[in-house]
Amino acid sequence: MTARRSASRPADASRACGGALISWALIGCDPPPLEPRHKVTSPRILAIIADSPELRPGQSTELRVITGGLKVEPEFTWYVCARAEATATFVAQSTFGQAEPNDACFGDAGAGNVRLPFTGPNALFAVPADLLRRIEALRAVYGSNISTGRLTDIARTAGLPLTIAVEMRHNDPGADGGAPANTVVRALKRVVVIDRSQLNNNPPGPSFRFSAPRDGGAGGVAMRYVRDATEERCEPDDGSGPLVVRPGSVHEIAPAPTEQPWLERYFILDTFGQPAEQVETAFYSFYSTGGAYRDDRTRIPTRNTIWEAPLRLGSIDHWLVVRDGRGGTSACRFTVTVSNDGGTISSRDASSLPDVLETPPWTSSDAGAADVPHSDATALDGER
Amino acid sequence: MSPGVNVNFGDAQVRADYRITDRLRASIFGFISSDTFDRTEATGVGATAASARDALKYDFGRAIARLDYTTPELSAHWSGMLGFDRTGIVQVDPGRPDRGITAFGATMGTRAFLRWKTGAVATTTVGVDALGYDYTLDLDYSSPPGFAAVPAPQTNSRVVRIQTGVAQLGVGAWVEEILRLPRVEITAGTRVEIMAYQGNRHVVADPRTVIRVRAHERVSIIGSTGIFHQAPPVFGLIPLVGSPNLLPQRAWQSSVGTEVDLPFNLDLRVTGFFNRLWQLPRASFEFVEGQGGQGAMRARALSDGEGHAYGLEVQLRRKIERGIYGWVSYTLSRSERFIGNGKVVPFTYDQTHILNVALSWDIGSRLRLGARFQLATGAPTSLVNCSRWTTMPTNATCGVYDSDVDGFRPQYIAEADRLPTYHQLDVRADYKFMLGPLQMSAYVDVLNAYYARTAEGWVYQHDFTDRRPRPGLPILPTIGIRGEL
Repeated sequence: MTARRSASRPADASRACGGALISWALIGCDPPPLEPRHKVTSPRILAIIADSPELRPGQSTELRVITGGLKVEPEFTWYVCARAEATATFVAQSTFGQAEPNDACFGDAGAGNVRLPFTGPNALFAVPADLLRRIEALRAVYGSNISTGRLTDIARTAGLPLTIAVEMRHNDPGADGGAPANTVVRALKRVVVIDRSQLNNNPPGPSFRFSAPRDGGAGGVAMRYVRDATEERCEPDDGSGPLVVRPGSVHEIAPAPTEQPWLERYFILDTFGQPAEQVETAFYSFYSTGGAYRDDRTRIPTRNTIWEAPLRLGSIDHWLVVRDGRGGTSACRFTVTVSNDGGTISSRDASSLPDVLETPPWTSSDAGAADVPHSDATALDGER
Repeated sequence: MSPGVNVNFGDAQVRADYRITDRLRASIFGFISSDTFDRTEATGVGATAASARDALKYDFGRAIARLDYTTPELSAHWSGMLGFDRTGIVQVDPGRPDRGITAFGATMGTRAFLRWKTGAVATTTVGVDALGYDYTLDLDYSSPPGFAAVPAPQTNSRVVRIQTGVAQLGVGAWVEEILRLPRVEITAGTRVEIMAYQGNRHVVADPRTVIRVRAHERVSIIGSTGIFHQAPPVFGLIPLVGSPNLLPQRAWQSSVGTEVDLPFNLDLRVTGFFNRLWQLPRASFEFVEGQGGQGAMRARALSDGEGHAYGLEVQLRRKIERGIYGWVSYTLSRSERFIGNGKVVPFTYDQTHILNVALSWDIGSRLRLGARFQLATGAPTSLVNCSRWTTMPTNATCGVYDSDVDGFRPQYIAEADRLPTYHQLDVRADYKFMLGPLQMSAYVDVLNAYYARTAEGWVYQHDFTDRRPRPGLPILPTIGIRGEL
């Protein structure tokens, strides 16, 4: 596989330079594009789900990671900490002020870090019953400029965000068989500890329609969320088999426009310390091991996206993650098989795309590279 | 809204000078400018397609009047300025509250001084000046998250509407004494100013002095030092966005240098400088106790920034002779900010080396050719600590995936990296001709003539494991025509 990647780079470079031959003296050669965020070509953490994302002191929350691109079983390490979210979020590039490192919650050495006794993709965290009365925890998040009495008020009205950090260690050989051993992938999320009656809930599992763009979301296949002991996945609602599409075909993925029942209203203590009411927003994120998305993150009302199947035949994993904008998350994986016999989904080739797609803003550089695995056609490893 | 980009810019100016008497002259100058950038693009697909828009509009105008009265023993000057500024910014994205700024401000200033000889070697100057503005602002801006807020994907932060005003007035009086001795000239003065803004009042005093020593008929040595104050920037004073309680910025500026007259109509200036800075405004998102019984809130802006700048400037200039004028300047400098805990980092605009070369050549009476070349050290930028594409010996990962925002957070090292060296050549040709009573000038101006592929910054891959330079100015030709009556 290493040889294949090496062979593909000069081909990419020659295309980039060849097209610019006339203006070569002025412009030179453009570097290959950056890898899109939706393309899962190596082990990644795609989401962390806390069930539930808000909890009262004394309650526990179930934590689980949604992963992609794995070929071997990884090992997980879980941490919980209270950290100064204020500076970590905003001052990272400021001329003045030191940003708290985003990795401050990882490792056993960090002050206040708690290591959870789990090594798998699931963990359980129980909140101490007296947490909102622990001044040192409140100070770790809100700093030392606020009086103790005020801190207690803030803890009662706004709560205390805790950071959940997870390390995923894997010895995945990678696509070329030579990837670094014992690679570490780090991710974090927050859970809010607050003593109020209405706690935030995760969105329901994703449901969507997989169709051709001209169907306008009416045709195609309705997909529903299924969770079993091993994973969360989406599968055809009518019980039919896996989705099968033609190489290079274009499809619309339209999350069900039924967010209103689960979008919650809630109160916050805003940046000026004043109470304010907010409404959640639905955010959708799309990932895949092949092909190209036009938009890989959407939010209502523009929830839909377009996916172009690769030219290479094979099975493509997709993930759809929906977030409520304040920590609530749900996700599912679904599989699409690219086959010359594709017919489950009405599809069309690139020569008959609708107007909006005649000059697609995303470009799949695997056109004409049917003999190269899709993930290799845009490989950037040579730059690293 | 249909996708597209609309760019408009234009300006006009008028100037009139009038000699009332041999001793009294008057002039007025007016300038007005209007720039617009408006971009609309499609977003979303299929049944949920929509469009996004961002637009910027900036208009401003100034009218300046001036009176000068001069006799051998006395000179008096008065000038006054009236102006306006209007700024409009609009950002529209489906699924987010619209953001924008509408700001309109009136500004005025006046300055007057009287200068007379107080002896054989002494000249005294006294003056007063005032500068003020009054802005009305309407903002819909993305406020920093509140308490215990979990960040959302795609920076879908809370948008707050603020309708407010910002007014600032500074009134100063100053006195300056110049002593002209045979080889030494000493200038010493003090300025006292009352700065009033947002209900706060500050009185500042700025003593300054300059000493010029003629060491040789062709060599002068100049030294200067002084204290300078400046009001905080207007947007830093907006309530609930910045802080009305920001302090005036303070600087102690000192320099020493020499001026040398050289053969061939050349002169050389070499100057070393050191500036110390206090009370610089800085953004802060720390939680603090509010004032006047308010609860806790984010600080937003504080006045405790400090820094310094020092360096050496060298300029070789050829005065205009036989139609040729030009200069070469080089600056070696360092500007740094103190970021707390004893750490010092380069200022955002610090450039270690700056080389400028400019040449102008009049070919006959109608045609003039000019060129300017600039070479400068790239600006500092925060380094993403990633061993995969930097040479730093580190085992850190490039970033941590934040599941709540659905994006990677890199490990930054503040201002530890620099953009590539910046270089650019601009050329220009002017051709003069008469059109009736109008003195006309047609010109061709080409910026970045050889298409230097400079980098304005870095564009990172989503996981910060790779990056590309954000390209700067392309070759930008401009053709224009100007008429003067």
